[in-house]
Amino acid sequence: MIIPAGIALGLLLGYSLQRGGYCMNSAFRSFYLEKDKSLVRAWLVVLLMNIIGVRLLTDIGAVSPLVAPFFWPAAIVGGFVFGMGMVIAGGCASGTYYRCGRGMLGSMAALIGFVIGTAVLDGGAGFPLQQALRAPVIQLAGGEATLFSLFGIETSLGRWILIGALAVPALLWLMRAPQQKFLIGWGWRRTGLVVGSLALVAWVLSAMVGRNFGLSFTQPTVALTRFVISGDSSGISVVSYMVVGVPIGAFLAAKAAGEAVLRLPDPGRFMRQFGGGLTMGAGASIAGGCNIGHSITGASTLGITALVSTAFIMLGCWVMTGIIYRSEQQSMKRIELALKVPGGIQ
Amino acid sequence: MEPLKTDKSIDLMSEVCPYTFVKSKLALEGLDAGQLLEIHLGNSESASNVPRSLDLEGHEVLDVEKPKPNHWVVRVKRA
Repeated sequence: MIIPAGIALGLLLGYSLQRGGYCMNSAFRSFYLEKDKSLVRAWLVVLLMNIIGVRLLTDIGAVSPLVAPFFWPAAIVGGFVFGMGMVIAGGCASGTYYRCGRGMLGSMAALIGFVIGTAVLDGGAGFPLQQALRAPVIQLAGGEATLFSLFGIETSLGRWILIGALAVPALLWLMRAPQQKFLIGWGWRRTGLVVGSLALVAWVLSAMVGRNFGLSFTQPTVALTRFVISGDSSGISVVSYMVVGVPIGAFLAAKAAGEAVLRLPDPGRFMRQFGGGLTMGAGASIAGGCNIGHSITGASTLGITALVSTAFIMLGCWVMTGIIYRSEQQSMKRIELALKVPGGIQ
Repeated sequence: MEPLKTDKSIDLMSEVCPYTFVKSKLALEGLDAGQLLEIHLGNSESASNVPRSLDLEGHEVLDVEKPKPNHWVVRVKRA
């Protein structure tokens, strides 16, 4: 039951990520670089649906979300490293998984790097570093490290007021969105609604098998690696089967659009994407989550570790994008100078 | 109608984000106002995001064509 359910969820998610071009690296980058905020809007839709949905499910007792302790150095360092890594990897954790499905070998290199990076920092040779960064924990008076505790909110009504205060401005911003031009595949509304629904399904499916969390990619990747390599199935859960389904679902979506083709980038870019994946995996293992585990699932419980990690994932993404932008600008100038010979090429 | 003359063409077929947008933006900035840039892209995300972002930067995106699978051609006039 758990295996087909997990794979089915993965298939649907992979299909949707491919159709929607839903890459959170691009979403986070666009705060800094591009004027187009379509993917930010898709992410916000997912987030709003899940903040409200998870609260409702918690109120009726259907789920009891696990909230990470606020190990602030790990959240800051891990998030920042992950953010830098995903830019070089050419996609976030989920973005890398779905692009593998449509045959982008550079993303496959990034995925192999991600698998190694997570394994090294989570139980591998780099484990002491992860443990050291997770040792300092800030305890909040209200218990779990969430925004609710931070603001001293203890009642259900109080929680809903805080959620309302966060949701209303976000909804107003979404309603003022300009028309999305030059669309290929799904627009931000449909992408957000579908991915958001699947994220909620992941919460419910997980709860049914005693797992108190929603969508994630980092822990299931580590668990799957451990199982495949050493036969240790202790970490395997419904989401481990899901991550297997994601590239297959993306392949089916790409195949239907005639886009499923094996493609190899130049050797330099291939190696860079591998290094990016390695960095991204290390960061995710330190922070205890990636753009999905923290920036969707953890954030939907308003967990502080997830929110701080998300902020630093964004910061890392912006810093690395800035570095790339400047280096491209420099090389462009060098080419221009080289071409500026008397009577030379225009 | 006479086809518009392209002033510059860049091949970004094997590039992914953010390189596709960064290189397109810088290439456009190297042109004079009214000149035409042709951008060749090799993935659907870039083929959707690059023209949309350039449009929002104020440049005029004339068309996005897909001559074959996994190949998109964006033609932009520099603002």
